[in-house]
Amino acid sequence: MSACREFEVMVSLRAAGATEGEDARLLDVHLTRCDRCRREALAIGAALRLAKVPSPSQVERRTAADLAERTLAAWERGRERRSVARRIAFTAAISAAFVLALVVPISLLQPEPSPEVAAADVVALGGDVVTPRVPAVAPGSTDGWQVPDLDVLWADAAVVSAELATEPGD
Amino acid sequence: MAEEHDTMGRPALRVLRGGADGGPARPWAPAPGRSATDEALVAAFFVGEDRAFGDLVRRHEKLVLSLVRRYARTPEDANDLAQRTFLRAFEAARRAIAKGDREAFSFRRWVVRIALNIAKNHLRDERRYGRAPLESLGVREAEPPVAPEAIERTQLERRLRVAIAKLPRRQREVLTLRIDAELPFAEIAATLEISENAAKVTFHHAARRLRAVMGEEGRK
Repeated sequence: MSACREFEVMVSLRAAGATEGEDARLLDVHLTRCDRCRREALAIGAALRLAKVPSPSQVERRTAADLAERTLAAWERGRERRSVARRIAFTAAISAAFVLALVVPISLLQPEPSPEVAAADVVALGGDVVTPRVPAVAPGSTDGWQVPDLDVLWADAAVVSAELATEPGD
Repeated sequence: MAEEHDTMGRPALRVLRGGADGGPARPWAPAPGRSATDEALVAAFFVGEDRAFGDLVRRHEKLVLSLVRRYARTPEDANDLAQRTFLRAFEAARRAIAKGDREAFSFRRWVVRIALNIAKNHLRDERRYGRAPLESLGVREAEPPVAPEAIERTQLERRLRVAIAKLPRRQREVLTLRIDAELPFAEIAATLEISENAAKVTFHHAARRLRAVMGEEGRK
């Protein structure tokens, strides 16, 4: 058997001591007239009282007496553990950065391939591999850098050779 | 006073904490008759005042214990749950301060929500691992009752305890915040981020379920 629909929520709140103002007054007036709601309010009140956890015993109070101190000690231990973890992570990061700093420059110091080696990559038309040779040194080269002779370079190109083959005298 | 002048002959300046008279033992404490806010205590702790930590825990320990002891089997269990609640709340505060997130700072609300969450997880673990039947949860007097009426009452309390543990999560939270922590519905609503009306209706549904358990007992 439940309370009247329009008052059922207020009946539960009254059992919990949570009605006030005009709502409380209206409900009190209703309860004087409605046996069903009055019985429901009493039953819910009894259920809530039995459901509530009893007040702390002496044993509980004694056990909880130093909760603040023990919690602070636990916090300090946790902070120490976090500090150690941070130091380990920092050391690992520094080590990794050090290793990278060594490896990357070494790979960047690999020597450039020589011009002779680069010329070997050229493959003539017709499948013939052009034998690389040192480009002809133009007169007047300076500072050890040899200016290539362009005529010699063109002569090495197979396409030019094919065109020249049609000229008389070849 | 020693060394009133420095080596250049200028008056030496010294900063005295709390003023010339030495100040109060707890420098974060406001004027007499007023208590420091939770936020002030947290800030004081994180700048090195360990006593502020104790003050804050003592301020909220009764509230936290009232929420967690329903799910503990022994007083030590309840203390352990309460301790974990405070540690997590301080960790949340530390992160909020590190982010500069002062707007979302409400230590009391955090403590309540964390306590409810820890209690929920503890209840789940008790069920999952079958450590103890649900009837045995909830710290109580060491001596069992002997009078028949008292025995019957104890059995009914046990059934209601089980019924609460089996309530849907939101109903259980609202009910325990009201009957165990004795919080007003406005604070319950703010903590759970629901409307006050929703909190009251949820409470009503939970209360009806407990009433149904009483009704079954009455018919036996």
